[in-house]
Amino acid sequence: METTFSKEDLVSRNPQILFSVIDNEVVLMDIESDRYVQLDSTASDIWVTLSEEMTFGDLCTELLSKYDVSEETCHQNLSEFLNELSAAGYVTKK
Amino acid sequence: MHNYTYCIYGYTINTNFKLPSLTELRKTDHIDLNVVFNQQHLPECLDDEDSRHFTFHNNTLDLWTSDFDLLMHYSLGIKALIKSGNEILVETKNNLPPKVTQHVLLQGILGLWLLKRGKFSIHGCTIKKGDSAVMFAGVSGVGKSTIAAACYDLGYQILSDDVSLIELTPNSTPSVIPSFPIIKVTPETLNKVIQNKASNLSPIPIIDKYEAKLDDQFYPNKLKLEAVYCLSTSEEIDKLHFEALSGGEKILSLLSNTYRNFMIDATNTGAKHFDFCAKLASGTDIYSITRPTEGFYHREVIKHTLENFIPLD
Repeated sequence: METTFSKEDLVSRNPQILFSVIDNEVVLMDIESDRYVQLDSTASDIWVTLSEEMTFGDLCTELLSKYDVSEETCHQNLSEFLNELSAAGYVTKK
Repeated sequence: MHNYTYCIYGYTINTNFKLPSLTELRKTDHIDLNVVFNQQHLPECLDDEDSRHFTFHNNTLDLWTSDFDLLMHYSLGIKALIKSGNEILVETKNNLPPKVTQHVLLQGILGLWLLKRGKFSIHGCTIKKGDSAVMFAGVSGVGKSTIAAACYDLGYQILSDDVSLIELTPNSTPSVIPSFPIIKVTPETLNKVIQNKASNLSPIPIIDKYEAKLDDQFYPNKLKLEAVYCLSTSEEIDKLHFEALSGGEKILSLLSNTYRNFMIDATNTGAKHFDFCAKLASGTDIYSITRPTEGFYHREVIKHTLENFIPLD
């Protein structure tokens, strides 16, 4: 089910998920399900930026300082991406 | 009871079963593993409360795991109990040819023993190149054994025919540990690839392969790993395609080419395995080599990997 993120929502990585960064690309590994996934460069950057629990708004602000996109586009794309990660159990939302 | 001692995958292994194709060690200071054959009947399964059951290879191999032990049951007539200490108990059918038992021990049983210890191997052959080693990895049938056979025929020194154990230093520099001095080839490879040394090969019953002792073509010392070449086939190309892998692709290629990776879950080594692949990916060059589905390309692969630097498209 699609979740809408508000700026105050706290987002964090699932600590059970293993990951590795190589050549600025992230590979995630879910040991429980034996699934692994390779993130593209932007998704990898988001994962690395989310190094500790932070609000959706702060994560958006961090990304806006790096990428030349509007706040609306950043909000929408980030929300879609985090929804995918959340559905797969890679991140949690509070 | 006579005991025999061998060096296999860098470990000193003591057993009461004479391995017909290996040479005994003359002198040993310590024993890493005892493999005891036919001294007691092994159970049909592990029935502990926490045990799990798996089947592999089209149901020809059953595996039971518990917190401490692993029990393998090969339908061809071999059972092995890998205990938590440094002991493996094996029970074989009386009429099983020794070369078949040897083959199952060297790859299947010891392969799982290594996994249980958190030691990971790449499914592929390793060839000495100068002062280092290069590895050809891939799934069964993709051509790695053909390359190993061709290298044997051409006189290259070989560290491993099919299971290449890797050791990582604390700073993640990878080395390859020599496995054992035997090479196996299929009948087709014998007919189409081996030109100079066919007389050295003898059949292994039941499993439809031939083997040769590597003798002085076996390189018995560990070597720094220079590169891993991951082999694959494609119906959509008509010539070899070389590509240097980068980023996450390197890790994914190692995850999928780890020997017995389908047993990672059974041995509860998933986290260690991922960490190993990530460190190995960061410490070595990895290339993919894709060949057309039909035909033999081993000469061209050897030319571009062992004789020259790789030309990239």
